[in-house]
Amino acid sequence: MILNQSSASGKQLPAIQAVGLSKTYGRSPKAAVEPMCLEVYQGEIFGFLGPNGAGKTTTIKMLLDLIKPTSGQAVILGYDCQKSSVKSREKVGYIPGELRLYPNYSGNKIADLLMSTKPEPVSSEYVSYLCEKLNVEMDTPTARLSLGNRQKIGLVLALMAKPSLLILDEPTLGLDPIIQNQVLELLREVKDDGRTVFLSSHVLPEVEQICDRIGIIRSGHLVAVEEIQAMQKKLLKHLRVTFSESVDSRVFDALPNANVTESTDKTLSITISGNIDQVIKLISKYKVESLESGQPSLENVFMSYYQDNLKEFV
Amino acid sequence: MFNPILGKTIFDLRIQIFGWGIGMGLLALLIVLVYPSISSTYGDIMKEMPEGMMAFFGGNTSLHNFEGYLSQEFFNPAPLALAVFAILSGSQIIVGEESQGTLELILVQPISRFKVFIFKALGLLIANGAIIFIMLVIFSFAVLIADVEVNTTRILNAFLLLWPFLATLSFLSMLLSLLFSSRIVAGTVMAVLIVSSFILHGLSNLVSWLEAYRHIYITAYFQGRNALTSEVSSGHIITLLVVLAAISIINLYLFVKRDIGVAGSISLPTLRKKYTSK
Repeated sequence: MILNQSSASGKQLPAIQAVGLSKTYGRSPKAAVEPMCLEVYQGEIFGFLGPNGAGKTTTIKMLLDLIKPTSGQAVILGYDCQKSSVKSREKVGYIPGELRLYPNYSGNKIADLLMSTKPEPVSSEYVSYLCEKLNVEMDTPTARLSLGNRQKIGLVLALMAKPSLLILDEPTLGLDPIIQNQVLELLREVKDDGRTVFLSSHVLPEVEQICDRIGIIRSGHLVAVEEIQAMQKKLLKHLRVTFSESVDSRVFDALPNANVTESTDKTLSITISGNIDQVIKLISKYKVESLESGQPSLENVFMSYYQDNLKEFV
Repeated sequence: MFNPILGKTIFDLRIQIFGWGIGMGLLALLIVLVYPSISSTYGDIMKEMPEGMMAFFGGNTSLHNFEGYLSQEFFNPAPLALAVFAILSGSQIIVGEESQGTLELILVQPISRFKVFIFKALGLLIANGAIIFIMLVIFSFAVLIADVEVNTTRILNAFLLLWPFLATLSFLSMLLSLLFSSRIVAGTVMAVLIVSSFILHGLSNLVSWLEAYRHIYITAYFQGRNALTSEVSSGHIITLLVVLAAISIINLYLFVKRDIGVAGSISLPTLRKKYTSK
């Protein structure tokens, strides 16, 4: 399995490189995307997270040359997204957040139209494989299909040319759980193939499941880019300890990175930021009946960037 | 090889092409078929019309022959009616698709916006031409069954001259839709422009000071009626073609520079701001 492709010098090669990329719309005093520097490596699945209006779609549209940046530059697999946009798009498959298909066209007809723009022929075997895997109705006019079925066609269209970079904006929107899993499986296959996925999603468990790294965008600012595990490590951990004897909660509160949130005679709920070692060592001095620990989910990570009162812990 | 984007553009307009082509063709057929029964009296009827009324509707047409009759009854209202198609199709082809969200589908493919524009513009020209062709076929059939003597060259010219006129209206509508990022606003402005132009052009035959402004009435640039009854103004045709070319270049520029899916990216307010801030 290829994790991240590296150059001869061992440095990871970028699939997407954005330098000072920004966008301000019209007369708006506020930038939709503040100058952003971002690197997405070849062979990784990169999660791009942020609430509605944070600037995710604007960033994606700048990468695809649908929107012209106000400043900065973006490069996809060596090609400038604006100056060599056709070349850069040769290597990209894309599914938008709000997919709209030609209503009077069937999936097959749209696929034929889009295939005609590709520099290399698309493998019909691979298209059949995708259709089978996602259980797609490719012969029916899209106006007669449900949102989920149209989304499946969108996925086939994005994946069919085996692009080196997949840019997916909410790819599992409207899909049932079975197909959602199939999509995630397909994305893992793409990664195993050494190709790159840039995934914008609100479904955090899904991102947590398949992404190597995530970037979080808030009000147009890229506030964090890190591996998921590294981010989780930085966050709050929760412990609930039941002792066999009475324990003075102040002893735990006195530790610099611990905070007792709930205490009874023998039970303590402790929130820990950063290193857990000191807390564990202190607990071990007592006779413990049970210990429950809560690993922070990606949701905690995500929320920590959006809740000011939690920011201090990050 | 037939380009798929060109094919799609024409396919998407197929209902309008056949609808307008057959509809206007049938109107032409009806007008031709009634001619034999009124040909002897038509000139006299028209002579009895008040002079002002005649002037408003084009005035100096020769009404004692089929070409004059056709000019008055068909080629007077036809450009106005076909302008509806031109406005709708011109504003649909880019901004309409953009607002439906389907334009992205093709623009994220490895094809330049220049090529997309060229094929869409070509599709629009062919659609306008196809309507005229269908009308002409039905008209020819009508002439055959009505057994009317016609000046083929004049009639062919009249039909052909509809093409650059309608194409210019289509491209002007596209321009306004790109500037306002709205089909409704573009359509409304175009409708007001064409109707007022038609009325003022008619009035310019009666009011001397309006005559001085004839060159700004867009309907004056349709030379089909002149082709039937008098001489075509090559100056008007050249002006129309130059305007068409200029609008096409501006449309191409606006499309290439446009932020897709963002209303008013290169819009009138943005341009105004750009120039007033200098």
